[in-house]
Amino acid sequence: MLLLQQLINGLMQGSIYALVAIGYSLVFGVLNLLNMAHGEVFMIAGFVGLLLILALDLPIYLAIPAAMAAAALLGVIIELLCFRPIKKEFHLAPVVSTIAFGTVLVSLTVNFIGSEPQVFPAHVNIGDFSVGGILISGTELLMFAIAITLMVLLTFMLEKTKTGRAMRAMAENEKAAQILGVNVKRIIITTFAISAALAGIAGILVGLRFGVISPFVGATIGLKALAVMVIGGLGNIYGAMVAGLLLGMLEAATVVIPGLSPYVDAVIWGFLVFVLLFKPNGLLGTRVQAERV
Amino acid sequence: MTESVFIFAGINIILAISLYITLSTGQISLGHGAFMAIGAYMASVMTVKWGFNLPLAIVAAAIMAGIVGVAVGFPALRVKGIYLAIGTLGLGEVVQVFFHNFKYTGGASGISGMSGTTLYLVWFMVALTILFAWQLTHSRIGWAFKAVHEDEVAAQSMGLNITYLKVTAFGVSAAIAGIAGALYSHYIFFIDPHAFGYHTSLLILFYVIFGGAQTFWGAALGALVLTLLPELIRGMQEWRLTFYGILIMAMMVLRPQGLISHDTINWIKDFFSKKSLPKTKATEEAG
Repeated sequence: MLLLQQLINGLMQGSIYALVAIGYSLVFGVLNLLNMAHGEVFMIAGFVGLLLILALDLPIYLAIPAAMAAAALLGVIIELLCFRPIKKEFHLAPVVSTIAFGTVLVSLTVNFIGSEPQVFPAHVNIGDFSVGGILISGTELLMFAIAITLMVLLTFMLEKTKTGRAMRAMAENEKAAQILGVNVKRIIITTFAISAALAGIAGILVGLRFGVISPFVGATIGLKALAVMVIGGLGNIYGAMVAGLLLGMLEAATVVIPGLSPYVDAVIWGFLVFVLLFKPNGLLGTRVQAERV
Repeated sequence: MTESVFIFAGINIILAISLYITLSTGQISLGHGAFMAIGAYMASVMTVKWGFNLPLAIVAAAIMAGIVGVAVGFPALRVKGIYLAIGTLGLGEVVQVFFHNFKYTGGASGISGMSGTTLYLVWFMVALTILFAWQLTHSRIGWAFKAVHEDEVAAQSMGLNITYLKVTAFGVSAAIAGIAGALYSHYIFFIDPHAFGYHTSLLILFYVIFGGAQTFWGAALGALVLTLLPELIRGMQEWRLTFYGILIMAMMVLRPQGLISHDTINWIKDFFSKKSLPKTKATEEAG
């Protein structure tokens, strides 16, 4: 029973990893760029959500889209500051630039708000309920439902819509896509906005679930999601989904194994190193996209 | 400016040169804080718990970090680019969690009581590191590193042993980071696992990228400038990371190769050779 409970908890935690990892994966898959500030977008969105709830007393169903919009805007800013102006022949430069931008976002947050985690007010929390002896947190269930819905919507968007097709075309070959009439600049901006919006909703959901949001959450959950993306296979969105859910459950299972619980923060990273040893391109990764850096 | 600034500048120069050596084989590491941690803990255990003197502890720190570096170098052979960057980041996190739970070195509460680092010792080690880096880059192995960086397949087909070169680079780099860790822990008297996390690894990367990753002079200069510059501006301390971040972002747009590149070094060489040598017909033709 305990294990089942833990697996359900893990699945819900994993849905957040998956949501953030998909954001990394989308940008990497379509544009072959690694946005290392993605975890910080996640963190900022959490704070924007909290600020709106506290200052304007916004109900949660309005705060979530607002946080998503703020995150999407931040995503566009990252594209304009860290990717667009940098010469193509310096492959390492955009990665370093986004790392630097992430550092700026964290230090600004620390300087203006403080390094202490900020508390979400109790009234936005959703009650818990139990099914057959298994306790399910309402917030976690909401989080899980939203994450799964967004994953389905994103899959639909990529497979069926014109924008999605253009994105997949760019993932295959940017030049060819451009020749065939894809508006590359528009697609790049859209990709960044969608990727960041996904991080945004994850940020506010994590804030709700833990009741607090810390300026350093990007360096914990954000980086773990990065590992999840790599484990799933760079740029592979389905890989990110599967790996996210899997690793959430793996983490939750670790907690109940005696003696292993202090090492829970190393589980994902240990697993990453392990996977890279045997499958250097990740579980579902096929193309070698990493050559360039 | 106080003595401590120059001590940290020296330690950061050693760290930057250490990371430069891994980068010079085309391997990017986001986990150099881990090697620093291993050196720092090894040296601290040597002096505080086992009663050895600091010079011996520094040697032991270098050896221990070097061994771990070699151990990491082998699996790192199989992964490249972003996979390697994230893999080393993961290694850094795992090492941090290890020290967090390792009771012998105090776990989360860390270890204290070290002392003995002086300005002279630090800059002596900086001089040694620069001398070593100079020797390395002007040796056969240094050229081989460059060849691996430029084109691995071509280097291999010329008969270079890629495995040996890449693992050596990781090992040597880790050993040097271990030395920096030993100096650091014996200057600030107290270390805990948090001192060597992701942010420490990032700062080392910033030094190298800012100064220029093409030559070790760039890495050293980057560390020196980024350590001294915030000290010149009053009240900079809490804005330091914001400042670093914006500086690096601007650098990536304006001069992605960093402050010093190969071209800069060649320009300086030309400048001095033109000034010092009288112009003869031969030099004019050659130039």
